[in-house]
Amino acid sequence: MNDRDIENVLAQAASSLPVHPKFNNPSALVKETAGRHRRERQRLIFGFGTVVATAAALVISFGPGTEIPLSRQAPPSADRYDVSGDRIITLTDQQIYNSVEAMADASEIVVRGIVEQRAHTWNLSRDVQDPTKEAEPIQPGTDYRINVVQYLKGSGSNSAVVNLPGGEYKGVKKFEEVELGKEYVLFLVPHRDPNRLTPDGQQRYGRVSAHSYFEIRDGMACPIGVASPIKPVPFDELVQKVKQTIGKE
Amino acid sequence: MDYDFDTLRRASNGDDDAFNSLVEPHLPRCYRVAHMITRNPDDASDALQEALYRVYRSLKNLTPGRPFYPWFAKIVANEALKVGKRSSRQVVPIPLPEVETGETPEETVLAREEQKRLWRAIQALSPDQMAVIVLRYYGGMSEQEMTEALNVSPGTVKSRLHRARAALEKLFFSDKTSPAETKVVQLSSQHGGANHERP
Repeated sequence: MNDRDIENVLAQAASSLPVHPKFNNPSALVKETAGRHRRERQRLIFGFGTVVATAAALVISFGPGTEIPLSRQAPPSADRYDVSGDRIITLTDQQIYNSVEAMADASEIVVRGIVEQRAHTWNLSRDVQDPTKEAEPIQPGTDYRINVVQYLKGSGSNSAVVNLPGGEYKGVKKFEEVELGKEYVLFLVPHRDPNRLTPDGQQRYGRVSAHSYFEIRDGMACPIGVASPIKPVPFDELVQKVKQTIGKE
Repeated sequence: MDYDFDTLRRASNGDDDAFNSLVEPHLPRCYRVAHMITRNPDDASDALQEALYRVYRSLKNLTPGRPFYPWFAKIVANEALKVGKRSSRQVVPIPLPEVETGETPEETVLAREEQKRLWRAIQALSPDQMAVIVLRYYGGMSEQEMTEALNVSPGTVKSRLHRARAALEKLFFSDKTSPAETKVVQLSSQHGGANHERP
């Protein structure tokens, strides 16, 4: 029995194993799986919520006047840093925007612009106790200078500095989600960096959520990022939705 | 490298066509890896589907320049092990198709018996050992690629392979069912005897 024998036997056995036709379209399967996971999470959250509500009802019914000591109460949502500059995601404070309107509402500015240049790259991973210090693992984030074509919400100068995950820092490489010279719509809030200013004193912005920028291609605004809950929409429709939100305000 | 940067970039930005073109060349092999580890076609499909989802979500973590296949195969193998452990589905033995291997009928039968015995021994391995053997000898991974895929040191890969090989040899040499001689004698009698008798 040598290596060749094992290879032959495994190859022969494998040749009798047909691949199921459903794998002809892998991306469709991924979406199906993502949907299943989402439903499972919702069931879990619903189940957890039911348990909490039942427990609360029991406390109210059978424990009048019983005050839960502060030390046993759930801590307030921590305004901490995570690798992307957003809050740490938990079951209770996960920031998911299922609509353009909700995202526009949460954004301070919404800009349409062309990525002009990379300003500089730094480590987004911050020390929880002291956010001015870097932490491990290194998560590169790059400041991009955007040549603003139009402010769909808010106002400002004709260029904006936006920090997005990706780039190369101290030898660690991560994919950049935007490309120089391409046109995007970005839903932005002031960055959570403690300084919030770029080295040359300009306001630095960050994304409002993981799926909050859209590439403009052939008149369509296509969300960037994996498994975005928002589907591609015609650019004009996106503008209209953002403006409707401003109208409500 | 088994992909180009542009395809990877587009796939990691949610482009379905780019994702399909990235994974499709590896799907048949990865499915079979999953099938041999789980030993059940439905479990293999579940494992591969889950692995595709994980790949889709983790594409951004794939260091540019790192080969795609070992990374994909590693995710598939891990999912197959997970699915196999929690599955209550029955193990479905994988048949070994008939292939002409020897020059004479006796040689063919002997080789065939040896192969069946080896296949029985492989199928009797534990799922972890099966995964190592399948990735190495069917997945076509070098020890270096296995080091990357399993995220362990080259020494650990060597020792795991060595243990799996030792277990395989033990199972192979202890398998006394259906000895080859019986088949040869049967065949000899079918072919008229004298010329096909074992020396």
